[in-house]
Amino acid sequence: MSRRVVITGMGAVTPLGLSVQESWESLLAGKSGAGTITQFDPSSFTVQIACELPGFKVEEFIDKRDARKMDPCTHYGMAASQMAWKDAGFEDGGYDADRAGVLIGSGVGGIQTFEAQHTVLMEKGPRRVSPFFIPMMIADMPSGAVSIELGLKGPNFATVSACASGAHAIGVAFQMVRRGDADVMVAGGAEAAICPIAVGGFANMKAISSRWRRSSASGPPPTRSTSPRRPREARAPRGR
Amino acid sequence: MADIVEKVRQVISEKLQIDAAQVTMEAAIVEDLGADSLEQADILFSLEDEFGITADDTDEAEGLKTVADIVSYLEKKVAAE
Repeated sequence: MSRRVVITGMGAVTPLGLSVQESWESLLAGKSGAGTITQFDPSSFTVQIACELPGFKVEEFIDKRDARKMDPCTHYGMAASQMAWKDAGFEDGGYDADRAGVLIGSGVGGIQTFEAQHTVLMEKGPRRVSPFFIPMMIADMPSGAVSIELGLKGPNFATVSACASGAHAIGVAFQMVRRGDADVMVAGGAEAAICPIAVGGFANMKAISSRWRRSSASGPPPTRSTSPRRPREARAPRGR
Repeated sequence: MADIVEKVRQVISEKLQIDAAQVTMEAAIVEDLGADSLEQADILFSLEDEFGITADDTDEAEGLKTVADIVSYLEKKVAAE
């Protein structure tokens, strides 16, 4: 018999706000989270906007020494998870750590770390690549860091399915609780891909708006092209 | 000598985010200062960079325990360069 699953806590740090409440209110107010990129100089890019997290202070969530060894995607995942954990009322226990897991999806994981360390490799050689490169970059590190922080010993991995990674994680975590793999799952998504190589790639594949010049900080958010995408013609299956 | 000591203390305090005053010559990197294995490697690589040396994985670099161990190891390496 399958079990009923409930969501008992939520947390979020988003371009619309640094809490669930603030993000939701901004959303209802029609605010845009997009703005000119500040995390690097975007002047040579065809797209110069992104949805950053203005005002996010990692030190409010993670010890300075630990934070240095984490990619920003892990910082964000840690912050949102801590809020959700508190919201769920688990701060003082009430769960079996062996039956509580973490499943945080990420489309690309620590791509800022990847980019920075590749530069180190090219400029200084392999001996200078940080020993923290791998544990900072791998996409399951938000899940890993949260389990270490909260002491959760249940299932721990990440979903990687492009923009659906976070929603996918919540869905899979739901299934896991329902079929009894775990009693509690911290689930969600974390991404920090606002860096030159990612913005360059997304811009060139036309996945982000290049109509940003028409928007302003106070104006309407950039919109997608209104011309509908033409569906690809169905191909006849190859004969065997 | 004094230069090496200062540099070592500076690198360790920066890497481990601790006060340089805690980094005494007798302090053991793991037991006293709380470094994990990756932090140990990170410290060593930074010092290699700083002093322009390369610690061989098979030599005594692996066995360095205290700040004093690191300092005397670096002195030897720098002198040999």
